[in-house]
Amino acid sequence: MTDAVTSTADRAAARPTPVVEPLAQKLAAQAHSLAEQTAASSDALSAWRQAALAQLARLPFPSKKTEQWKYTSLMALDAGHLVTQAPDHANAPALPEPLAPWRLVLINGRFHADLSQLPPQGVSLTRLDGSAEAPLSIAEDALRTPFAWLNSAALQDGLLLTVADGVALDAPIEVLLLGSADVASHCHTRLRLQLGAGSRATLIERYIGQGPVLTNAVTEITTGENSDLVHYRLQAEAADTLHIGSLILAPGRDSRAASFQLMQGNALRRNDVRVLMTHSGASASLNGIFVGRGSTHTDNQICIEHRVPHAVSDQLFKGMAGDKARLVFNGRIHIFAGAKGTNAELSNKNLLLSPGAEVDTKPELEIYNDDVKCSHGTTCGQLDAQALFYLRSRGIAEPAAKRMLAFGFVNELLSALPDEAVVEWARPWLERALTEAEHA
Amino acid sequence: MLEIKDLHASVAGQDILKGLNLSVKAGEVHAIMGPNGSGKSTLTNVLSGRDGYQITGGQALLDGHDVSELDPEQRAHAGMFLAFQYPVEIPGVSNLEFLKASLEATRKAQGKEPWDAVTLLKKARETCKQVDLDPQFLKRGVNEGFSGGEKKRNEIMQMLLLEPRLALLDETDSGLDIDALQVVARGVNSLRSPDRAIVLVTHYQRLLDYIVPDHVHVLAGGRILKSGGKELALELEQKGYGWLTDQEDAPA
Amino acid sequence: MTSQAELDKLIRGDYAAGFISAIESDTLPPGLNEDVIRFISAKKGEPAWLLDWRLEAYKKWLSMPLPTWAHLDHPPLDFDEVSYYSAPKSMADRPQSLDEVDPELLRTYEKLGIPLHEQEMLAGVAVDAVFDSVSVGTTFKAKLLEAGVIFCSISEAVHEYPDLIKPYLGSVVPQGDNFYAALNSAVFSDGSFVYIPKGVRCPMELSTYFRINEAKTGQFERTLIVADEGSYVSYLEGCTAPMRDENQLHAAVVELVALPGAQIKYSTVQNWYPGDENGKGGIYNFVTKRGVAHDNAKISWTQVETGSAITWKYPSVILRGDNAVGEFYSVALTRHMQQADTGTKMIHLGKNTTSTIISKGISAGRSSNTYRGLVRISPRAENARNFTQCDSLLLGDTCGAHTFPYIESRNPSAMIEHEATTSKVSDDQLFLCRNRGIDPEKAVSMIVNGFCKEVFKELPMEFAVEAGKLLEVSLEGAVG
Repeated sequence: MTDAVTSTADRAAARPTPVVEPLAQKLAAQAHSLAEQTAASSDALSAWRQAALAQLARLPFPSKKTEQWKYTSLMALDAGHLVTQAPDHANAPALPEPLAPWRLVLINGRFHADLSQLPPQGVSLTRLDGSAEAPLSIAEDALRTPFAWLNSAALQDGLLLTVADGVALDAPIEVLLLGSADVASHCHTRLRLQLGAGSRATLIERYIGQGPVLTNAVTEITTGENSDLVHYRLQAEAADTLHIGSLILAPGRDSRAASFQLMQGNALRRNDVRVLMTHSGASASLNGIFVGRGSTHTDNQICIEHRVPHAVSDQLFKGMAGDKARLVFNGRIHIFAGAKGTNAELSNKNLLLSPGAEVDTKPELEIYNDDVKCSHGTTCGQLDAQALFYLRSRGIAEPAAKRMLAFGFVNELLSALPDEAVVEWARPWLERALTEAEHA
Repeated sequence: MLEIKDLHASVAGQDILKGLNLSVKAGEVHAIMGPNGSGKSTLTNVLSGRDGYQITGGQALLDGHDVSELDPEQRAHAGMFLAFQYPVEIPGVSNLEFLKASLEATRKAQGKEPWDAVTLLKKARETCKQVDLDPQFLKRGVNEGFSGGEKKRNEIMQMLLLEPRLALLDETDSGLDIDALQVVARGVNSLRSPDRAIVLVTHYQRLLDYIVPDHVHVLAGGRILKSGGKELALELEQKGYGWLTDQEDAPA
Repeated sequence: MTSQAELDKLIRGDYAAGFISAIESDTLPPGLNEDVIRFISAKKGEPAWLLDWRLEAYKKWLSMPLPTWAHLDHPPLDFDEVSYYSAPKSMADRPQSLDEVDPELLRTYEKLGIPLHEQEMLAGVAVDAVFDSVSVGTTFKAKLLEAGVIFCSISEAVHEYPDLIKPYLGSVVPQGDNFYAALNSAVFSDGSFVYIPKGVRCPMELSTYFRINEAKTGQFERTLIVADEGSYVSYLEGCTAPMRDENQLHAAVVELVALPGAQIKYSTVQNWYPGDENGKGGIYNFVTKRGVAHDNAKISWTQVETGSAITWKYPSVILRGDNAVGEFYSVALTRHMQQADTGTKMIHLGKNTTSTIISKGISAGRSSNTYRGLVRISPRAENARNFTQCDSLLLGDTCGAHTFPYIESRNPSAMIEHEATTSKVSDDQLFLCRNRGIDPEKAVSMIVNGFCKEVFKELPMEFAVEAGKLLEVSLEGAVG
């Protein structure tokens, strides 16, 4: 066995050519060509778009082998969503009742001042359409997915809201984001909220729309010292829409931030939420209700990074999957070395409402400091059969009984919503989403 | 009203009821007594359609209709009410919300006028008082964190509001102190009327001091062994169940 | 002295099993190719089907990429630097009885506290000892055979019981299951085989001790346990290795088959050399352990792991049959520069299947300790139940503790609960103990033992004692 070929050489010879994911490659090419077109136009945001283009080139599109996309396929984007831009609606479609006295309307990513009620004194509004320079990303590496970089590189419109120091708003600001198209297409939506020191504000992001349109959303929020933020992300688009979104939240020193995400599944829903605890004394509270209906897909990836000492975070997410829906949840708590005195908790509870539904959940702890208090818990089960029978024996028909129990399951979250207008929106929304979750 | 003919039923493959016959007419109060494990709870659960309780033979007719063909909620709509031995806790769903859903569905099915929110709240509050339950309980989750006695009174409260034609009370008296027992009995007695029937399932004679039955049945080994008037209950109180079940076992 | 300094001292303990035995051995030069596999197979006089099976595995291995998903950081492994076969020379002609075994070898086992001579045996434990790549002797064989229990080296079983080996070898962990399992399937040298006949309760605990002695060798043992219908067996496994500067590779495969109604309890105390304070040397432990539980069968994995520079190991249960039960109880302690990525997989296929996972990770020094687990409920697994508890204890602020549980449910009637917590040995706790007159070493050991109690109580008696001691040694810095 002297002249035997070594295994390394053998392995090299025998290894098949690396499997290319044709779809990932195709999407990357489409994203590139898209971004290059926009990045080329010269205006106040050109340099920034060029930088994003470089990031986009660096980051591969996810494939089946990508750990963070293990449960989510991008097959739904194969119809050329990244090729065609959703139309810029000239005629205003019917809009739902506002949830706040101030409402900013974006249709397929474009701001419509004529349909909006502008925010009051103390809040400045800058349009991110290249007409003026604007401080854009929170941090160089704040965005993590190629979709978020594509959003930056191909950005044509968006909103920057700045709440001045010490300004306390007594009512929420709503941003209504409507995505609508008849053909496979996309729109990019971009929001940036900056809360000044000692300020207080509530932002309601509400996504609605229908048709095979992909909303590629990026929202970034920074809050100043000792500020108070309440943030809602209501995702109520029709089941045939697609939504890939990033939310980056960076609370300031001694500030309080509470975020509530209420969403129903659609053809493809993916949310990457990143919370950067980079200021001591900050507290962040993340909550969510996810409802999977029909054959929809909902994937939430939440990552909270504790990078400094003495910050606190808690998270409670409840998911319900009916019919053939799939709910994916990944909740990561990352405690960096040096982040002593951190207190972080995560709870994810799920209900499977029907035999065809699926829940995949992965709470994660990544901890590099011993002086911390961290925990996570997750459960997955079904509605309590005893309770169901009890309701039925009182004359309540099975579907209604199931909905009541499902409401009961999420009631602690619903009743904790701080704004009455949102609660009033949420109850019928949930009723509808659950009704849709029942049917095949 | 309720006609049970040679009823056989099993739980998890085990035969519990083995040929039970019982006839309950409108206006009557029946007490079913028997030792633990005799099949008392199985009977009420089979009648109200709980999952896992299989009718394997015979039938139970409610106003001439086979109950096995009805879903639990349809049985409720038909006027049947089961007061649970162990009332279920439903966190997050308030008592009032629960009552509203239940009354709406039931009254609608029965062709009765629905109650508006004000009427419902008024009636619910009154009924709470009737069973010595603080109206604050209406806002709390169904039976969530209630004491044993409060849960049982909550059952009676629901029963009074739903006005069933056939009320099945499954060991509603067990675990109650004498005051709570009187409250429960008062509630049940107030429901007595010529067009209603009540079936009390109990282990103890005590309840029958307050709710005087027209008929008493002894259930053992999945069958009615003996039926009689209210004096049978007193006899049972004195002699225990042994003399009956021994007779039954003797030939075996 | 600050409590931090005390902790530092406690976790700097030396390795007690790190001696090297002066034994002449027959070691193959490093490198892997088909000829090496033919050599191993010929050396063991294997039948042609097994050689073909090995070669098939080798072909699969060649085409497989090295797994990179684990939370581990190590230099790329060069599989040509490893020697794939090492046997003590005196074993060349297989000793017929323990009397023929090289006395130096027996002394090695005695040093490890594992006397192979039957008269010295702790009553009731039968031992199969694997030294480097080969089994050096199995005790209590005759007595076991009386009960119909087969307990021998897997090489022996290939010759003696081909009808039991052929259907089961690779039936739980197929050749191409993963990179390391494929490598093992190609080059496995020896290991233990157990067969418990129908309805038999194995009359004693069975035990295997593994030791890697020779430098630059890989150890690739393979264990196969088949528990026939209604039988019961408790199997213990212990591992040690000498202190060497270079890393040694251990890539084992364990397959458990619990036929209907059978119960297998598999306990491991793993104390491979973890490397020194600076991460020099130590065993790379890449192990595939998996069991299949048929109707009403039960498989329990209990492990106490303090060794290895790198641990990559996920003892799993496929709950194939209805009412099958899977359990995983684990304590993993890492210190120095050790890295562990370990956990379990519970695959629920049958109805009414239940699984329990209790994992306790203790990290110290600059180590990294990761729990990675999968609970999968298939659509058919009506009423499946899982409960998982993962706790991490951190000693010091330079280590890492991570938890990555994957939960996949496709049946609404299933109930899954997962909880994880992280805590530390706090200054307050230590102060209280000292205030009550308990020295800090004892205090840490008490707290750690308390932390691990739920797992220790699952271990067979002698192993529980051993595991407790092992943790104490690892934590207290006692010199062997």
